[in-house]
Amino acid sequence: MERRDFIKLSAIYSSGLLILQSVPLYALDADTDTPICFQPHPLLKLCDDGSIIIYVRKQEFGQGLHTSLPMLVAEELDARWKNIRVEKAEFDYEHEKEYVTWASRAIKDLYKPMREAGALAREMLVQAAANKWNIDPSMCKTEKSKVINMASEESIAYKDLISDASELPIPKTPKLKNYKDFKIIGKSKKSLEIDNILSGKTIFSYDFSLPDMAYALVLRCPVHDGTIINYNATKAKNLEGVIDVVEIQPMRKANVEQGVAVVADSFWTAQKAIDLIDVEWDYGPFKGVTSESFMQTLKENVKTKELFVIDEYGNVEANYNESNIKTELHFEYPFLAHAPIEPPSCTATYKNGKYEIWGGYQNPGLASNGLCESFGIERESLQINLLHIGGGFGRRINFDNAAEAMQLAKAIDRPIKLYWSRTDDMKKGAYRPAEAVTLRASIDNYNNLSSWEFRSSGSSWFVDTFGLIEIPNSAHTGYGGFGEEGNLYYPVGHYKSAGFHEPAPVNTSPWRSIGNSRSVNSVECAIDDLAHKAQTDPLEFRLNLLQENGWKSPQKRKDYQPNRLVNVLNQVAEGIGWFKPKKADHYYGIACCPYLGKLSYAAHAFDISVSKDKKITINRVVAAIDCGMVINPDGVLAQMEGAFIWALSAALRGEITLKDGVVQESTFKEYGILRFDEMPPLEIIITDSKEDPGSVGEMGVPSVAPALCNAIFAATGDRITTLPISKSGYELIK
Amino acid sequence: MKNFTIKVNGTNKNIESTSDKPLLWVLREDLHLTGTKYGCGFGVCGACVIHLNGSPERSCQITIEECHEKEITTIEGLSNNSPHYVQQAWIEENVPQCGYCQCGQIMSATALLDKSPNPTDEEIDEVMGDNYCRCGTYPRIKKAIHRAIQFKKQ
Ligand code: FES
Ligand code: FES
Repeated sequence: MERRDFIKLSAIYSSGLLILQSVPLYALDADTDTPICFQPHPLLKLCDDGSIIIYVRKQEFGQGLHTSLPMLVAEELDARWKNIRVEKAEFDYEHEKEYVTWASRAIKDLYKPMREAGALAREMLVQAAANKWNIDPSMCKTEKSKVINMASEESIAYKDLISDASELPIPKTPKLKNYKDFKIIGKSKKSLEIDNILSGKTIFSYDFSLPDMAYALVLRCPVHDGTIINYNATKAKNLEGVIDVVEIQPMRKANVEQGVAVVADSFWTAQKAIDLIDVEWDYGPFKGVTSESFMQTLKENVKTKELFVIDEYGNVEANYNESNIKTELHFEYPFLAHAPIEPPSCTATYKNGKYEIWGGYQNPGLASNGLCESFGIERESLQINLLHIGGGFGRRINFDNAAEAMQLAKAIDRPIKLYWSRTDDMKKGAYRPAEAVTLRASIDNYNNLSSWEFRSSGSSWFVDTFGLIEIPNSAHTGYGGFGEEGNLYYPVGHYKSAGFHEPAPVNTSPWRSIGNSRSVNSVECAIDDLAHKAQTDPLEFRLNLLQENGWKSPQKRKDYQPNRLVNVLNQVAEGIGWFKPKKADHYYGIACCPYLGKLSYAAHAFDISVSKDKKITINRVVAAIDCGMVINPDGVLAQMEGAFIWALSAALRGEITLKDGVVQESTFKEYGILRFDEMPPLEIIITDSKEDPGSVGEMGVPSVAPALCNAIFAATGDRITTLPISKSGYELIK
Repeated sequence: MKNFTIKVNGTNKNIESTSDKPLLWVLREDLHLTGTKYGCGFGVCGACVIHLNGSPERSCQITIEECHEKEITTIEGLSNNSPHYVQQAWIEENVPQCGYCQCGQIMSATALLDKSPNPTDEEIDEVMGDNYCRCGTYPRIKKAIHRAIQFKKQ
């Protein structure tokens, strides 16, 4: 075969998020069996061996994006699904924003751009075929990676058209399908990476290795922000296999604290050596903090401090005082760990003033900013290679591990693999902020909310972790309730939300569903309490509040559709049998939430039994999600299952406990992650919607805890406002 | 340092190591068999499960010395060409999310089904209850095990 150079095109094509530069067509050396490929779009390559490679910039850590995003391309391309292969796009600074993978927005953001990539290639292939047949492109149709001549019924496979297609100009505005013609979107697809994952071939950050690599672990102060007074590493250095002991310098912008690193020939040697180092620590300002003392501080803040007012309208005080039916609840939320099964790690090299790292980062652009600033280098001197991530959940926003690895690569002049051990991650990880909330709310004689006041104190990872400017109304802080989410999702004419930031005695970070993991619990338990006080069924009470005519501007965001929240509530109610006669000792609880830009809606209903000694049996749970257009139904199911288990673990017994400033939990066991044998029966209802696609990954979290707490209230009259519920003596039994 | 011989996925390997090094790190760092995962190092999570002379073991909890002259199967050696029937069941149920825990899950499940081809739900709970998955794939693992039992019967 002759070598063919496909470097022709220079059209600039721009579409939504994907701002594309001139696109060189792929020129692969054809002397060997290497396929010749045509790359009409940076994220799509069609090869003459029939394979179609889709590059994904978003990070995969279990959300299924490496399947659902290719589905969008394959749909418009009319590709045969079994031709599709997915690859990670190499990180490039030019498109850094597209690599950001958080806030469950990948599908929402890329729904159109990914489809356009497929549509564009399809149009070129059709044109190429039409030219061959000397017919108009409108006389062609496509299916299963083929162009078909509708008149003659001849067909040409895409792989046989790539050479001709590469001669054609890139269409500027490819036409997208009507959803009625979708063949791939909306049909369940299995993970494109499943074979590699199940045979151990997928390379996660922890698995990556380089020749001549040395292994390192870091001894960090058990208390947040502690420093070293002095240390003696003689014994460690003398251990066979230890290469060096290096002090880690603190780097505020990379979230790195002072520490002592052991570089050795193995994780095992490094771990043994760490135990041989004597350090005298200055435990710093958080030395005496316990979980209880910190919660006390937060509660005091709510009571006595002048709070930052996030939003206020009407006259909350007067209306609250005048109401006959009202509630005042005090919520307490603990710090929570992400505890992904893969702990953080990073591999780094340093050569001629340049660093290269390999790891898993949810926001590599943010990481590079922090790293470049910390090391005083330009971006040209830092190459980031992204690897598969063994569970994200917000934990991989942090890049402290990269900074530590880079320091060591420079110090040792050898490739370094920097591991965090399980205990390192449990005890010195980054946690969901704790929060104290006082919520006061009242209703009028028609069961409409007449006042709502949300006062809270907690921490913000923006401020605490990266020293970024505070965004006080951010949903990340949770205080003030909803911040960027818009106001309360139930209508109320008199409203106030206010908060007070307290620096956390640990590192903090976003955690699956961010502040909503707390705010929604506060709201849904308060609503339940008001319903009870109004002697109204809690579902009816919600449905009454959510009626279309209950809203006055500016309370409701334009894109919020309360009727969709009503639908998911009705679905779980029906699923659990809300209005049917209940079996003896069965009690129900319900809760709901809209989410992020209000494009998704979810609800949960629990059926539980509680024994006199507070043992809870979860008989059944029904979950519902309306996330707009569903791309991969099985993927949505998987996310709802996972989110449920995640949220139930946290609600039942999730807590990071501080004693003398030190985290007490060290593995999954003490942290109480739900086990296989504890999984209660769960049914999931997905709404088949034609609305634009919304969020999924975090959607299944917020309404789990309040639905459970409300069920416990129904069963026992015990209004739980402190999470986890184990703190009130309750325990799950099978 | 001492010399040890282990047979991994059918091939003899000579390993120079201190006697106390857990098999996990020998597999991962010395032999580059990274399908066996580190999740905790305490025997808690099950990400590191392998078969030692046919029985499931947590490779973070056994030393290279204890494995001397023994046969080890890791996920990479579970089947030769086509997927093992348990892997196939996992594919049918589209089990993995991030996938990190799944090799350990499969090694635990295969050992269970080797020993007890028709396990009760209690037996399944007992074995799989010791394998954590933070992504929450438990309902699918349960279905996949039941499917694997059917595959085996056929
Ligand atoms: S790593 Fe061995 S059980 Fe967790
Ligand atoms: S699939 Fe992610 S930990 Fe199990």
